[in-house]
Amino acid sequence: MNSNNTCRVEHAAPRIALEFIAFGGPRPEFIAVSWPTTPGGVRRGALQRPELLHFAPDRWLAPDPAAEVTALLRAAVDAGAGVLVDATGKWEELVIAGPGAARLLASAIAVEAVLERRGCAAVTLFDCPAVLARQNEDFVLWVQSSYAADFVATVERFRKTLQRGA
Amino acid sequence: MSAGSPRRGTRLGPEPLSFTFDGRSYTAQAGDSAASALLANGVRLMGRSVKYRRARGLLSAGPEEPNALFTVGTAPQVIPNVAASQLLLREGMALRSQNRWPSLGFDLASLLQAGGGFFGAGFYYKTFMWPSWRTYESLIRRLAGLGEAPGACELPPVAIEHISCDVMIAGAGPAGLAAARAATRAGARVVVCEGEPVCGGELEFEPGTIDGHNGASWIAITLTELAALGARVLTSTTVVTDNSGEFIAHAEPGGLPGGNTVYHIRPHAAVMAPGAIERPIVFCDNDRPGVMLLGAAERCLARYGARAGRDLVLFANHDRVYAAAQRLTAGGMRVRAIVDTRPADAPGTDSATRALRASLLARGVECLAEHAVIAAEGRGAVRAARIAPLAAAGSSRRIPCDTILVSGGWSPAIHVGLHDGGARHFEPTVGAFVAGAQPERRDYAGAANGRLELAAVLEDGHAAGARAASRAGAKGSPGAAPRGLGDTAPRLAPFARSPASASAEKRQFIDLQNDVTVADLRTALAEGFIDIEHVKRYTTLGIGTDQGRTSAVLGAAILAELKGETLAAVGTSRNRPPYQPMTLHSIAGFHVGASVMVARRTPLHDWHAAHGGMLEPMGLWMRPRYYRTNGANPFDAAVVEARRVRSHGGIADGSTLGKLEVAGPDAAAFLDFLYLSKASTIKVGRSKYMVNLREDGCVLDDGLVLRLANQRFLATTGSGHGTHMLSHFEYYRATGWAGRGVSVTDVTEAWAVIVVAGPRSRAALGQVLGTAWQTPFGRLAHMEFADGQFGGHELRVLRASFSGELAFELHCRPAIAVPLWEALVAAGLAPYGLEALDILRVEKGYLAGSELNGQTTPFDLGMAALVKLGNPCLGRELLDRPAFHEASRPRLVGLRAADGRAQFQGGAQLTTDAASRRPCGYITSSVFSPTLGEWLGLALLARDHAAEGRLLVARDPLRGSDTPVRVVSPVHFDPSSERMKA
Repeated sequence: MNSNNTCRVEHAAPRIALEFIAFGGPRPEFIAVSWPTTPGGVRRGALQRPELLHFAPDRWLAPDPAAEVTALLRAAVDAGAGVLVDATGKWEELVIAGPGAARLLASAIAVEAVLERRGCAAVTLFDCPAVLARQNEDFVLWVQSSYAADFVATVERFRKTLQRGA
Repeated sequence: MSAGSPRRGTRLGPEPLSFTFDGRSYTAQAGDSAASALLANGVRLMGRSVKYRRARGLLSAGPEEPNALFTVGTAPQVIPNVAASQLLLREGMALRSQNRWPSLGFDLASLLQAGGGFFGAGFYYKTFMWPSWRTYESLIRRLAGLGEAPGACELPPVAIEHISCDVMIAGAGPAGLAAARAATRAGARVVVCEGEPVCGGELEFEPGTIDGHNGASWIAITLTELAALGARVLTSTTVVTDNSGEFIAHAEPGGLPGGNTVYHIRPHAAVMAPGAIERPIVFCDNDRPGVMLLGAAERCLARYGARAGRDLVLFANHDRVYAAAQRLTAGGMRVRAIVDTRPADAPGTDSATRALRASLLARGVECLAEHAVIAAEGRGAVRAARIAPLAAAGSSRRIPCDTILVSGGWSPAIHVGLHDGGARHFEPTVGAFVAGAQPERRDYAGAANGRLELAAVLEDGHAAGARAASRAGAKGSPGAAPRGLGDTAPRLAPFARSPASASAEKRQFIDLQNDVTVADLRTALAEGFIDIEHVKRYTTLGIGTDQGRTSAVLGAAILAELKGETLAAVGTSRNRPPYQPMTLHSIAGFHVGASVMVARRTPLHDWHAAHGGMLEPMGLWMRPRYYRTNGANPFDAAVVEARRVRSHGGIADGSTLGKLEVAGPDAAAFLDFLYLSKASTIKVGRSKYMVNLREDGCVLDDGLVLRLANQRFLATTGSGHGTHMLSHFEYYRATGWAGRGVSVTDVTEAWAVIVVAGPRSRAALGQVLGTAWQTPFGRLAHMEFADGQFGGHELRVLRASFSGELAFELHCRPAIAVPLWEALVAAGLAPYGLEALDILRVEKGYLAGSELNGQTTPFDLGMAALVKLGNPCLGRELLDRPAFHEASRPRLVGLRAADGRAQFQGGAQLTTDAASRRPCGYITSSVFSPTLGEWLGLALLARDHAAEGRLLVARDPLRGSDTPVRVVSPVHFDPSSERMKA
């Protein structure tokens, strides 16, 4: 057993997931103040939980958004900056925690490099589309729900392999 | 070292262990390789060649080993083709030799070589033609190949690691370690990959000092410093290819598949310091057990205390042979003679070499200049070396010995660079190809650049490491280069083969793994194969597990001699990844077993699996093909399910439909651009069947578009097309529509879809949805939808049909998919699978992937009316191409058996009569209709043959049937759609 590679995988589905998609062109000023405006940026809430992730150009994900975040998004819609789509059910949330979390994710991507200068990234992990972010020492990711079962199975397989000390 | 006392070597421990080879038990020591242990046990015969089954012994001490390949383990857990030189022995390990029957000592197939009747190059292509290849095929297949593929070998999962770093260094010999030291001192994050289990390369046995330390001390000091500076050193890890800056490295500890790791390393810069591979020299019977590379014998002695033989003859073309002779003598072997192809004391010979030679002469070692070994004598093993002066023919003599150690120089191991954008050039001083220009991210260092003296190697490595660190942005100082002292230039004089008669050339082996001889190269040339690549393929030179690492340059040099050209002009054949063999298991990575292909699951997946649903992959989606509860096979079950939908009703999982939400003030205009008919005319609360065209006018996909709100649409796509259509929409949104007010969001997984079809569907929905059914769903007209609730959750009900029945699509959030589905089951609706769905849609003439195959236009598919609406959409203009309107263009038609009973199959070709061989179309779909009691089909048929009532023949040579069929309307059932609109 390699204790440096131990980690655990926690699995949940956000109750609500909103996606905001901005139109091209100038954006209202309040977006620049209160939102992450560079792709890869993350607005964090309590306990460093990501609450608004700028995961791709013109795209933000708000998993289980607090009322304040929802209000911000609705204000942006009202200002004609983009549209808000209720994507509840599209994403499943996983937290990969423990000293071996980074090594486990390195089985799929160069995770340290990907998140070196970004708070979050849209990535393909084990052939599954996902949005990845750090949460304190752990990693939190949102996997498209139709892929989630396969993703979890593959992650579990690698977790066991690494813990055996391969 | 006395007999029976433990051997001493840099890699050996004192602990004894036992192993078996071909069923016989031997003892070894911890740390022994299979090769060293067998050598130490006096075993010389380790394998047989693949073609002639000639007896073979160990040639090398590295992964380039062509002869000593073993099968490890006991059936079915066996791994074939493991190089003995790389295999770390473990207690109780069972090794088996390959390519022999009944035993290694006596192999029946070796009789093929009796009388010298060797099968020359191209033998297989020229022979075995009468009466036919099939006569011989099974025998040849039994004899061919290296080892046997394991039938049911279960290997543990391969670990994968993606690493990002500033500088990656491939090779931890003196050049690699100097590079690593320089780069880490400069502040770079460094990863070092070393194929051997320990670092140091040649320093393990060649004497010399670096910065005043001996080799072993300097290695230890350097590794300590690297660790302190945060460098990561991966041993037993070989860089096998460079894929546009992503280096793939493969770790196989112990030389045996099992706990392997595949590294994907993305450095900012890389230093390749792979060293060089020693080349043999070719002479008659140079493949006998006991003929070995000089460097391999030195490694076996230094690492494992294993002696290559007792009485040695050394045969070389450079100065290094003298120092090696001294070390081997010190190791307890008797060097009978050193056969040097070069003149004695030629200009440039340094004093150290002169002194060494004098010392050896004084100890009775015969030093023969301008001589060559022309043959190895002895049948099963070397008994003597026959030598001759190069200047005078016919004056050969015999030197008794049991081992001939050969060194013809070194071939830089630059293969990885050649895989990806690197060049090579011929360097006369080393008689080989060295690294040429490389992509900016990659440098070579050390022996790969033709540097063979320790001081030059260290300087070159240090400079490359410093450069790489600088490229990666490191700003620190790399410090001074390590200073090496110890050896001098080898003064190599290229020499590839000893003189031989034409008949002896048949026993001058260049490629030991494939039994390619000088005579084979001569034959290839005589038959017109003059390019090195053609010669490789005709003779098999350089193929196999060793990929020509000891034979490619040697073969090219001999080819150059036979052609009368320079080696530089002939070149060597192209190298392909991986540099070192990897199991397919490692290459597959995580794509093995259940993960061989990622699968998408609907929210109802587990319900299907628990209730007899036979789930099969359809594209990436797992979908129920049929339900076992309705029949033991797909045909029987689908007939039951389809009949029940028509007579009663049923439910199907439609969650796999692609769903794209298109929103914004320009959404309607955007969809008008992408679809053949207009979305802007759809009223809120209604949907429309729409067709996309590709840019060239062919149909891309079809589906329903729902107008959810004035500026919000939901476009559905085919299940297998969702990802592609998202990409298609996004491409145009991000290019021609950039800056406009439109967004595209994939909401496929946000909405589960349950299809409710059949005459009882309305009643069942009323029962399940209760008051919600009355308002707003109950009064929906065909193609209308409404939003409401089920159990407090959002529910959208769309009245639309893909079965021709009264039908509804329930779009709900995944969280309530199962309860809603179960409520419908409780209301008396049974599920139906894809097979039944296919029956229902073919009965109605609806299209699926086999008709929307990327080659058909709206005209072909009977959608001319949509074109006539005149929407100037993407692809519309090219629909007017004359070629799309020729009589030979296909038209969608229906088919039925002429006798009303016979079966015909999808894929069958349609001809005008049984004698005709020219098809005029083919069957895209065929089903047995339980409703109509006969086989129905859809077909794409040339327009000039598509008149209804026409008789054709459905020809299916693969299944051996010719079926007379009749062209009918593609709408087989309820042509006025009364049931659907009920």
